[in-house]
Amino acid sequence: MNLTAQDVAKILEIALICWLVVLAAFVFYAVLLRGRKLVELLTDDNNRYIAPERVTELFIILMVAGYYLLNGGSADIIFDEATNSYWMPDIPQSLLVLLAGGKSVFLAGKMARTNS
Amino acid sequence: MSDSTNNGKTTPPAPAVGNAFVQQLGYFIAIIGMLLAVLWIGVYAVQYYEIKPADNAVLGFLAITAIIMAFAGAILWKIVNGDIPLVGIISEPRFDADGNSSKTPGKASLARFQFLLFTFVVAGLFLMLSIEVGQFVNIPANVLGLMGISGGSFVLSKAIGQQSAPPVQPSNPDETDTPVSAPKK
Repeated sequence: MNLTAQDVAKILEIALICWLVVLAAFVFYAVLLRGRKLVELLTDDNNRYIAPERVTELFIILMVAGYYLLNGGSADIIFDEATNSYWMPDIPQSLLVLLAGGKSVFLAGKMARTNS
Repeated sequence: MSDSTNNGKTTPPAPAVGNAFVQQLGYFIAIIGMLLAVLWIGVYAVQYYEIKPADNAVLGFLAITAIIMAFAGAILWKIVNGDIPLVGIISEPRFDADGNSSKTPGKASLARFQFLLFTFVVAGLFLMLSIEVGQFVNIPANVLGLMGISGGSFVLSKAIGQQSAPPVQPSNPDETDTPVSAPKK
């Protein structure tokens, strides 16, 4: 047979990537379908007004996700000679702290509005 | 010839005794038959086409690939069919007065949105880098922390949201049990 295990692995790899792309397309289409209500991401639980902690949180989320996507896609993969293994690009500690702080403010705001 | 009508009314035919057993026996025989056919084809191929053990491994790998892709295809098919609805993917579930989940999605949730976004970003990068180097890449502790913060805040947000949710009202107020300590009017 001319077909080798590596060929089959390549076929599976391409098929899985195609499947993930189609799945991502379906998910983002479903999110965009609700586009007219995407402003609900920024409003409080009762949809009465824009909550500032949600605006801050959304900004931080988009910033962290964008940074990691751009940095991870363009940076070289780290090779660790000691363990003979590869590592994904790391995320700066400061961004993690920023995200945790944003989450804390978001949850505190949500809790305060719930109790009031 | 038996007549199933009685005074102009049609009576349903009686269920055959052991119908389910016969059906299961049929499935069993079909599976055994397919296994024997595959075995026979394998033996025939080994005898006449000089298939090596490495080729058997490739054939097995192909079969596993076909099974995985069949599962993946079934999921996509169910999404297209509407059996797996994605419209409310970033929405909180909405419940009616009886406590049943409503089909119309609730308010868009920021916690769900960020969980979805981070999952796609990290999982997508992991897959791409793993394919690029040809082996699984390790995930740094900070990235795991990112996912942990994301998941933890999602759960906390859900817990706070459920606290603030209005109590479920029964559909028929007459059916409610009056508490013993409730004052009688």
